[in-house]
Amino acid sequence: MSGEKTEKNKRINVPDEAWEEYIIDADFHLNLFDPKEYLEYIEDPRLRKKIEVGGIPKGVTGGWVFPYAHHIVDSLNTQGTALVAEDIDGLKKQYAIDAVIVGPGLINLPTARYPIVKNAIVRAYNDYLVDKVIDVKSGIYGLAIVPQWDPAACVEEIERMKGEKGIVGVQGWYSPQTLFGAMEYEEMYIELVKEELPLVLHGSGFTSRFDLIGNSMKSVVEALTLSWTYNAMANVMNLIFTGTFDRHNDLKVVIQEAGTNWIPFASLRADECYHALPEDVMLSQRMFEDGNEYLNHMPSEYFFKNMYYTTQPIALPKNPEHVKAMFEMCRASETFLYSSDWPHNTFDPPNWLFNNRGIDKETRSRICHGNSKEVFGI
Amino acid sequence: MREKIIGRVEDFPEGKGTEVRLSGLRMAIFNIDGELYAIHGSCPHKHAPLHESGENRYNSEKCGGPFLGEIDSGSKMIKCPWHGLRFNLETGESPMLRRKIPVYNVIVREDGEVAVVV
Repeated sequence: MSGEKTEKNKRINVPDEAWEEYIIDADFHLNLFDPKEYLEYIEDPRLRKKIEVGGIPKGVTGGWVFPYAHHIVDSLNTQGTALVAEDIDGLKKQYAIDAVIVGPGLINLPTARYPIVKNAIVRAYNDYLVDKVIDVKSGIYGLAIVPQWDPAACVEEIERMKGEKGIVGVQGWYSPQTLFGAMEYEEMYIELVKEELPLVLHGSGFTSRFDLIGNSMKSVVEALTLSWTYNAMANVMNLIFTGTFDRHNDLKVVIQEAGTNWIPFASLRADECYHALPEDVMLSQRMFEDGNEYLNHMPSEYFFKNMYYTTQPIALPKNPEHVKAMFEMCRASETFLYSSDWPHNTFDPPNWLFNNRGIDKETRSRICHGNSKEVFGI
Repeated sequence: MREKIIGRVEDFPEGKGTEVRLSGLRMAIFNIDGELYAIHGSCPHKHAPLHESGENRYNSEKCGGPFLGEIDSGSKMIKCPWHGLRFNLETGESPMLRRKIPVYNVIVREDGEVAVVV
C-alpha cells in the first residue's frame, strides 16, 4: 500500500479495497497537443518554424468525433488534462493508482506527413518526458517514442534514451501500415533486447482509414469496436509468423488498448492454421535467412511468452464463471497489465478488478502490478 | 415506503449534483433551478459516480471544455461523467439502455429539511 493513498479522493467511485493494492496504470496519456510545449526542445530553426506555424503534423484521423464531446478535442481529454509530473501526481490519488506508465497520446503521428518534422517532435517529446514528466519517486514512468516510419531513427532514439531514469519501454503504434514483423525493424529489436526494453504498441489514430474495410466504416462506434483490435491482431500474427520471436527470444511486446477477449480466439486460430500450413512460415524472410523450417514453438505460445496486454477497454462477460474461464484462457495472471486510458472517453478506473467474483486475489494482484513490474523492470 | 432525512436544502447547491449515502443506498441529488431530484448514484455501465455529472474536469482550465458529463436543465437529463450515458432525472430512464435506474421522491419541508422516500 502506498502512503500517498491516504490522500485519496473519495468522490471517485473506486472501491475501498483498491486503496490497499499497489496499482500500476500501464496506459496513461499526456495531452501534449500544443506545439508550444515542444519548442524549447527543438534546436533547428527550420523545424522550429514549421512546428510553431503548423503545429504537430496532422495524421489521417478520418474525422471521427465522439458524439457526446463538447468539442472535437473532448474525446481526448474527457476526464481532464495532464501535462507535467505534478498534474499526474495529483490525479493518481483520485483513483487509487500508485504508478503510471505515461504514453504520449500522439496517436496520429504515424499517418502524418513530414517525417523529418515528426522525428523532431519525437525527440522533443522524449526530452520533455524526461525533463518534466518522469518522476520515479512519485511512481511516474515513461515510454520513449520510437519513430516507426524511420527504422534507423528508432535505433538512434533508443540509443539516446536508454540510460534515462524512468524510461521503461519504447512506444510505437499498431496500424494497417508496416507491420512489426518487418525486417526493417531488425536493428531495433536487437537494441531493445540488449537494453531489456519492451516494445509497447498502442492503437494509432483510427488508421482504419488506410484499409478497405476500415475506410468503409461509417461511424465511430464501428471503428472503436473493431479497428484497433484487428490491427493489433494483424501485428501479433505478423510478429509470430515471420519468426521475430524465434530470432529475438527475449523480445517483449505490450499491446495497449486492443481489448483482451480476442486473445483465446486468435491464439487458437493461429495454432489451427499453423497445423494446416506449417511449411509456409519458412518463406518469410527472417525464417528463410535463418534456415528455419518451423517455428520453435506453437504460435499460441508466443502470445503468452513474449506478449503482454493492457486491460482497457475491458469487456467482461456478465457471468463471473465466464470471466474466470476467459482470464484462464488469456493467462491473465501472466499477461494482463491494468490500464485506465486516462483521460480519454474510454476511461477504465480499476473498479472492475475489485467487484467481480471471477477474479481471484492473486490474479488481481498480478494484473494490478506484478506483470507490469516484470515487463517494465520497475 | 419511508421518508429519510438526507440534509438541509442548502446542502444541495443549485446546478450541481451531490452524493448521498443512505445505509448502503447510493444516490445523486441534483438541484436544477431550485428543484431537487434524487436518482441512483452509480452508473450501471461501469459504476461511475453520477453526482459528478457537470463537475469540472481535472485541470479543467487547460482543457478544451470544462465539464465532466452534462446537466441539461431543460430536458432534465444528465450525462454520466465517465462515458456519457444519459439518464432522465424524473423517470430514471436511459434512452440508450431502454431501462430505468431508480429515482426517488424528494420532499423539502418547511423548515428546510430534505427527505427522500425510500
